[in-house]
Amino acid sequence: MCELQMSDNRSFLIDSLVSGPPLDGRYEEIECVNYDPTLRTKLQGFFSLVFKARDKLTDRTVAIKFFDPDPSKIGDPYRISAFQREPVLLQQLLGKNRCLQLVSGLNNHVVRIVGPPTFEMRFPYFVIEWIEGHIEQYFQSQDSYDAEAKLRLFRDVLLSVEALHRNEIHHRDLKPDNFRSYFDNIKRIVVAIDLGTAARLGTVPISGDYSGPVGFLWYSAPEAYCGLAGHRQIARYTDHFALGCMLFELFSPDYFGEQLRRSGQFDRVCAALCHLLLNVKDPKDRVQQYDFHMEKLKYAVMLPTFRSRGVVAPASIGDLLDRALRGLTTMHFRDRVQSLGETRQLIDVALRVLTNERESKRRIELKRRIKQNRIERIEAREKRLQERLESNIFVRRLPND
Amino acid sequence: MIDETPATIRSDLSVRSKVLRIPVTDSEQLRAIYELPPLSEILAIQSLSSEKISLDETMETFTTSTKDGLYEEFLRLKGQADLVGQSSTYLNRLAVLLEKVGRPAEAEGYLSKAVKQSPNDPYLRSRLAIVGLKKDLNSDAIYELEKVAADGDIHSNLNLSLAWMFRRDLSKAISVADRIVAMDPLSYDARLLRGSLRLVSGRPELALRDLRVALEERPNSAVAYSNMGVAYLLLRNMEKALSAVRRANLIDPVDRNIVALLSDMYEATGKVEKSIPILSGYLEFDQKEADIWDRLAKAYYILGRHNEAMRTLQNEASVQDDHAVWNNMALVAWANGESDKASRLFSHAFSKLGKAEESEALVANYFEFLDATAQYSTLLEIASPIIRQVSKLRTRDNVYPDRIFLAYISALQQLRRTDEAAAEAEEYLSRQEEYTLPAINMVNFLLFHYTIDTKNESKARFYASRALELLNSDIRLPTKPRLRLMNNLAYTYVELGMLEDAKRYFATVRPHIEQDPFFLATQGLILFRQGDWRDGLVYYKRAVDFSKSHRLRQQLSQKMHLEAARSFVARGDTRSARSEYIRVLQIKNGSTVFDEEAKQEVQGLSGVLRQPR
Repeated sequence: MCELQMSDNRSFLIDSLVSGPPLDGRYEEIECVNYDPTLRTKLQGFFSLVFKARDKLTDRTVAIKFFDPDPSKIGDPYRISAFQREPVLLQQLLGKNRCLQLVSGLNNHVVRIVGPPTFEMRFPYFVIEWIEGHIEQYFQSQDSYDAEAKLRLFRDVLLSVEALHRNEIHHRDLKPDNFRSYFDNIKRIVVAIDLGTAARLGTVPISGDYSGPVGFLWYSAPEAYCGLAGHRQIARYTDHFALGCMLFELFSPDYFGEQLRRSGQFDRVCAALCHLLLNVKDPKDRVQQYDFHMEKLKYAVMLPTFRSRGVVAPASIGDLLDRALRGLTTMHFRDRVQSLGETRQLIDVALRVLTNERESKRRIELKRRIKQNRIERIEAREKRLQERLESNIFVRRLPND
Repeated sequence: MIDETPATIRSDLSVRSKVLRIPVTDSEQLRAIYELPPLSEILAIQSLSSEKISLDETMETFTTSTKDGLYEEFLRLKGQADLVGQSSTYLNRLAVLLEKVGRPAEAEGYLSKAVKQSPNDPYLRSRLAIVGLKKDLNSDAIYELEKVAADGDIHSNLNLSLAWMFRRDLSKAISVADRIVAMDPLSYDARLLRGSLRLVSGRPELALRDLRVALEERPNSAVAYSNMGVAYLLLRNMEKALSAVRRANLIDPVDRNIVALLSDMYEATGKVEKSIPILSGYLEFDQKEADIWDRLAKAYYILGRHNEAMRTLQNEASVQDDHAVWNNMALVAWANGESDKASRLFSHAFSKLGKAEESEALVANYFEFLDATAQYSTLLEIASPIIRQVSKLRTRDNVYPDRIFLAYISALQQLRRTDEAAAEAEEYLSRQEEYTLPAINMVNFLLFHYTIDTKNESKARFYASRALELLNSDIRLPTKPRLRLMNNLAYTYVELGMLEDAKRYFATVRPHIEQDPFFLATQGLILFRQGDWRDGLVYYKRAVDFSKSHRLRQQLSQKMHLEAARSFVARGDTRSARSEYIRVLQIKNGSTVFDEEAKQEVQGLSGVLRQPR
């Protein structure tokens, strides 16, 4: 399968960084974080090797992202272009809230190999801020978090994606692993990372013909399967779809994508659309044709809901979550929410319901305790009286008492 | 040295396509030439296959391309063990990923760990039990599933019901489904499941109740609508069945089972033209489904659009090159009046035959083709050695041997070997344990043979009694064959002189008399024999006017004049009788039997027969 092999290029790059002088004269204490040399496997990230380092200049931890020098990837023009595009996009996000910040732009790490023959190897890289906090535990360890905590996290996720969309950047590979969080005083900030597949509205697609999705397949929207993954106008809806998958997975032990494909109808519809669009080359026509055919085929797929097997969402917010989920994941991108603000509002309502419910429970509990205390007091008094009666002790009350 | 002469393109002569002739033997005595369609036609059909797209194949590509990504995700997630290693959700997701990349044993290991982490989670427990059942349907995992279900978890109960269904224990499956509906009467899954189980167990009226509730919960369920259609179909409410299946198709146009069902229903209700856009629509995105091509070709064939039917079948042949499609092409060519082509296509269909039992439909069609194209000798030549074997293949649901036999009998009749045909028919009937439509045909033929052809009274009586037996049995005969048999029985009784019996049986036929020249003629005969010759004449004349075939018209006219002559004889008007007899003899291409009768009877009148001019 895809047991990635240790390549000479990778180990060479790692060795040169770990044992060499500070990179660019400022980045030191470098360690690779997404490659395990003992297992010889890449842990995450398909395009790049990521290193954690300390920036001498600012005394901050940074992430250095190198283009993966694996021979199987080095000649892929799409991957190279996507890697070069990432720092350009990040440049446009400089100073923007809830967005990953670029520390230094595209540069080359040049390693001279003394021969014979003597030659130079160039490894392109850029540097971004290092954000430590993961959010994946909310998805993978659901029992440890209540519904309110999960929804608050999802709200923060929505805000981070909204921030990207506000700057006309669409991520196209949203998944729990591609978010990090940090605390600004007591406020948690979630940030979308790994913009390797992201694209900006108004730019020309790198690849002329996208035959399939560019991100993780179980988070990919149906249009991405039909050659529309590179279409800028609808990229926003692809992000919405992935967010819907994430919302579902906060409450379900299964993957949304897996449940969606269980009946086979999702794949059938996507395959049918692919065939119907087979000879439509013009991107505009393609979207038009997709629109036309999807309108007829969209009802064939039953979307998972919060009533699906194994899902554990509080009953009081089930309908609200279903509405939010439908708004994000319906088959046809035209039926999805136009802006994530709409989803955020629903999540806010759900949060209020949960808060009210909790408050109401608290009050009921308080009342129950007060009542219980009264009952206990009365019982104690009666018990005392009974004991006195049984011990035949009568105390005559004096008139002044 | 460089060759600088320019490249030339050689002009090709265009040649006519030639039928492929394959000699089967080289013996002079047994010279058999096997004719196939021209090579160009076969190659053209084969080349069509490269242009076809298939949903199944594209879906397979999706699955394969997803596998790598899923395994990568598994590896990535596995690396998160420090963060969330003890979580049951985490372990379950690892199991899901492994299951999808085709590593079920490892997946089961992770799932077991997940269950250990959350021993009271009904979802995980039932998932583990299902994994066990997937490995071995008869394993004890079902009892584990029962334990989880007993705790009242709806989804585990659903799985349990399905598990019993897969074990073919429908009553247990239904009782579990009943339990789920009692737990949540508005559950879509529960209602759909129970409705479908009730449908499978032959209780469509109860199934409908559940399916209606399921549809109230999820109005966009194509599955519920299609099952509802089947339920209505079983209840013989074709209109509602059609409407339900049509809705199912509107919701889910990519479901080929629904497309096929809808198309079959349109065909059954005589609205075959409506199935064409549905079938063509489906073929726009899935062109490797022979079942769908088949149906489209049939629709065109029924509508008489033979060229489109042929093109459709050629497309089908490019995806499924078997005897059935070539057989269909032969039928289309035959219907299009291209007998030679049909003959070659039949030959090619025979060359594609796999198993012997698949051959019956093809043989039946081929025999009917030979019969229809008057190639009786060829038919008898081929049929004689196999006819005994064919009859052994006959089963309750298999009508092909009967069709083969009918074509054989028909050929014998056409070659005027009626006695042989009668003998074969009698033997055929003696082998039948129950009556089928072909058997009724045989009874009809034998009634005709012994009443009209040979005037064998005892045999005619015997087969009249067989016909009566048939009419009084529990067999539900369709109206038309039933009326036909009644009419023939009445005719036989008239000829046997049992006029009252004849009238009694004909009473059932009388309301339908205007629909059929045979019925009109029998009514005329009854009237003649009653002595009401004027009305008899009127009915016979109407029968003659009503008959579509020339030969039948001639025969009916002969019989009319014969009966008129007899009535004149009965009234002592020999002159008029003679002129009627002469009219019988003057009619060309009629029945030789009537000719003979007329000759004999007119000789009886005068002793001398003047040859008609």
